[in-house]
Amino acid sequence: MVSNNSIFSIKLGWIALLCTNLMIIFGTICLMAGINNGGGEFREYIWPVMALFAVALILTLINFFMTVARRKTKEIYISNWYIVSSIIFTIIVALTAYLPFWQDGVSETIVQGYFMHSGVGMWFTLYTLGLLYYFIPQQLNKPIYAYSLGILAFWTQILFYTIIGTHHFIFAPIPWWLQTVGIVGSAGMIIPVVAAVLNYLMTFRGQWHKVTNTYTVPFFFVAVIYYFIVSIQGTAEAFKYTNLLWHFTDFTVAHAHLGFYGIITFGIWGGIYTIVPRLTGKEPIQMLVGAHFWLAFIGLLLYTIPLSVGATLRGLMWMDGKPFIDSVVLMFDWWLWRAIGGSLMFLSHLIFMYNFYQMTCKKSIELEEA
Amino acid sequence: MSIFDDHKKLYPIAGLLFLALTIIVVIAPALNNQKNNAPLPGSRPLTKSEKAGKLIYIAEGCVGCHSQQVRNVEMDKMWGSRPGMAADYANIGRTSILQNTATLMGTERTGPDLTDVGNRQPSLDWNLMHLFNPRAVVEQSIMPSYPWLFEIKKDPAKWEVVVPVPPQFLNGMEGKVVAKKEALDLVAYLQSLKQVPLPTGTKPMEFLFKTKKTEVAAAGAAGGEAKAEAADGKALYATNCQSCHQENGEGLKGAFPPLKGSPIVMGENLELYVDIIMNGYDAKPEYGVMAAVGTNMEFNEHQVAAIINYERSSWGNNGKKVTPEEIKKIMDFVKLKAQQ
Repeated sequence: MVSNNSIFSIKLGWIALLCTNLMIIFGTICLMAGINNGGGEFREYIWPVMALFAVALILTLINFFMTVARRKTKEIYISNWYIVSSIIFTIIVALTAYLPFWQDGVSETIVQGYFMHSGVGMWFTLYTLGLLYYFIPQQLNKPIYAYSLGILAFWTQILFYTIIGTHHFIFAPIPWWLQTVGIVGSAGMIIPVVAAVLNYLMTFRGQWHKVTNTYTVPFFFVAVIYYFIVSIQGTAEAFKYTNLLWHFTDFTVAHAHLGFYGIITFGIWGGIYTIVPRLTGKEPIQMLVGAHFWLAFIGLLLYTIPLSVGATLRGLMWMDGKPFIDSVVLMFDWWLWRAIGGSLMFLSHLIFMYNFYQMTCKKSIELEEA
Repeated sequence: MSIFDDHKKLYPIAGLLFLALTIIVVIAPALNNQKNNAPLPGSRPLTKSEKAGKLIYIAEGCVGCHSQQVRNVEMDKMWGSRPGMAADYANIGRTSILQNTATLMGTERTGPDLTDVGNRQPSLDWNLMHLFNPRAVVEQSIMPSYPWLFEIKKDPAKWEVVVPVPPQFLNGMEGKVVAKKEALDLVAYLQSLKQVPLPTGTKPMEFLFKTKKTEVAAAGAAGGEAKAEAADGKALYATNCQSCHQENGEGLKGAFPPLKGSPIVMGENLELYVDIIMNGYDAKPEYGVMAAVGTNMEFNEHQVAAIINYERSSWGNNGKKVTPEEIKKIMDFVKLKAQQ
């Protein structure tokens, strides 16, 4: 951690990791057995499964908070504003989504919009932004460009991101003022996004050669670029006209993949390639890291660009009142491209698995050579 | 800034800000909605079988591809006669101790919206065939098959529901396809999905973002002129008729009659023809029941005339063309007849 101190408790960390993985195992078994929560996106796990996640979150919060409390520096570094807050917010989000007192009728929809959006924005995005504030300066070997931009991005992120969940239900029978708040907040998101991206990119300035001559920095660079593109796209998707065109189509599927995969997954891969070799003293084969990167990168583009184009054409067809089945037939070719892109992405994961094995289990390369 | 140097200030402030915003935009509106919400007087709770069907709908994850919401925009008009309102979902409460409320509004339309599918596709035979293998009735469908809702039996008992699946969809299996209770429950739930009419005197919300076409049509109707653009018979057929009578007009043996060379389509009795389109048909034991498609979809004379003209001029059919004017008269007549 960036508090010049070690983590508060490794043991708590292990327990939290165990709980999270148990949640995934039990949750997956339940879903395959047809036991789900009733149809909310990202809210598929039933509450007993999510209770494991709650335990993991609370343990992690204690662990992180105590680590920050015992820091040896005066200020709390930006990464730790984001990461600890993200855990606090996720606890509030999960409780709001799973407590049964405000879930009847369309109230479920109001909560659902908030949950699926904050799940992405307050848990994954906030956490990954915190990671990027740590890894990018560390890998470029220079301080972050502007502390004050970080402050601006942090508070506006909380203000705007929290209120925009209803933009997933524009024109649905929920109060108009809530939908309007969602649209206005989505426009407001431009502020934290531009502030954060500017901050990252200005940190890159003068160090661009590191994008090409290290194998970690490209991952972070892609995450930053996607963070910008996906967030601006998200704002554009919230308006009323774009809802006519894109809502209910695969455009949102492409958007979600650009976000989760492009920002979060790439960011975490970069983090793993940075940290794990330092812990184990074993490096992966550079060419294979490159193969992993390019397959994932090209795969994602092949997955998302055709899907967005096809979905736009489909939306136009729907607006034109064409027979629904024609819009299914229209998508066939675009869905094929998605399958091709998805296969490349899957292939890249296999390579990553092997790379991870190289970094951890394999006898060190020097030994083998000797 | 000192707040960023003090973890005892920073995190509680951020947490409280987030909690306050959450209460304002989520918890308060949600509680408020629950307090001021009641189901429409015309609605009824689900029956036992429909409830069981809804649980299957949830378990199979149908909501992943099918929405259940008619938005108040013109393009959603094909999914219901009026925009949905909060009251439509008011009698949906928690599903079970384990499962949350399932309004099943959905966020994706890989397949059609199902808000009003009970009116749009009320045929039991069609629904069962479609669940057994969607390709049996809709050639281009990408929906998965649900064969585990059915059994193959050599000698089904009299009381069992036999599904007239064409042999090429049986994958060489010998016997008859019998619907299990699960399939019947699921279809019962699907058929219960109907938009509840508003109490008389209540005006529905308007559809927004009207297209130019409908504005012209509305203006034409208001001026008493029949200037509206000619309705597209092929598109209307594809949307409303094709899933049973098929794209080639040949229907499906033992389930849906052919229109190609049909004596009703080609014949002189226009009144019977219009009556079937508007009010449905159940005269032939060898075929399934046809629903009152025209009445359910609120067809006007332009649309009915376009469909008739399309059917009379396709697949080698060669019948006399009709005009919206003559159809209008017959429609008024068969409407009266249906009400008697």
